[in-house]
Amino acid sequence: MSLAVLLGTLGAGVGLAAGLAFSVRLSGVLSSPLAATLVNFLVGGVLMAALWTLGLDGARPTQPPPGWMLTGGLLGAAYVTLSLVGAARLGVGVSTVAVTLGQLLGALVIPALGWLGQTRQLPSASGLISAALLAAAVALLASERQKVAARPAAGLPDGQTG
Amino acid sequence: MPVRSPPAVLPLLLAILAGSLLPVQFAVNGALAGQLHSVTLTAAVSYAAGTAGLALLLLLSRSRPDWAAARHAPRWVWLGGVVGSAYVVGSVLLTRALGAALATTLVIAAQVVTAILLDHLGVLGLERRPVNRARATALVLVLAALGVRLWGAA
Repeated sequence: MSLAVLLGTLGAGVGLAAGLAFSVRLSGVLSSPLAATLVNFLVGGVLMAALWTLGLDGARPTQPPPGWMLTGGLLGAAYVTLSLVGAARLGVGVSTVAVTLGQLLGALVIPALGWLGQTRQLPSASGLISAALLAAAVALLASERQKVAARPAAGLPDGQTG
Repeated sequence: MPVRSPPAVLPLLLAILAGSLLPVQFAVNGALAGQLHSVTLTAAVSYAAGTAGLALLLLLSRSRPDWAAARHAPRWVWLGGVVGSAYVVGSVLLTRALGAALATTLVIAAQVVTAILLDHLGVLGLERRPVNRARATALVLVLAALGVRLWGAA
């Protein structure tokens, strides 16, 4: 495994899990998960734009990218909003399992069809087995959390009914 | 097949759809990074589009954020975006190096391990939840998933 892959994995995993903890806290303060996500996106965007302006990585782009490549952030915003709706309706445990299932399905389907510039790649046996193991791990955590969360924890997104 | 509780089906499908958007975002941002030759600019563009979308949604929704209350909260609660940008940069690097499929596996695994660790330590205002048998089993499953995937990819 190369250093970039290792750092990427650490950054993505820590960023996602710790970022969520920050979001939950801020959304409790603001009484609005949407506003908390907006603040996070704004802060992250300003930081990245600042680092790019300082010339941290990469050359200046020579030509504008095709329009569809600019939609990544909208997908991220839709992901956050739909997950919040799911968590409010289903409870955090069940919705986490469903969201992870969707992640694993998307990761199998998109490369299988060769969409979005991905190298075409049919799901392998090892890919399916690892997806099943991950889904089992998340389901186990969710069912354990469901049992613990008999009393409502502080700072959950509002609209939380579970 | 008859559905027992119709009201729960739509939110369930929405949650699955939400999850499937993440690998799509990985692929889209990976393609953008290939075009722009800069991970930081890619993340900035992605965040800008997301910010615009959320601002519109916030205006259309009835949600009224309590900005005044936020002034009295600890300063660190504002810095989630700094941590979150590590996720965007990390996912772009991974997708460029490994493709969306393997990148998603690694991110889910790292996310689960980090979440269990943060809960165990009880940091960032989270309730302390020490590792128990269920959590230890989940960790083993995640490591097994990684092992199988990396062995299959080698």
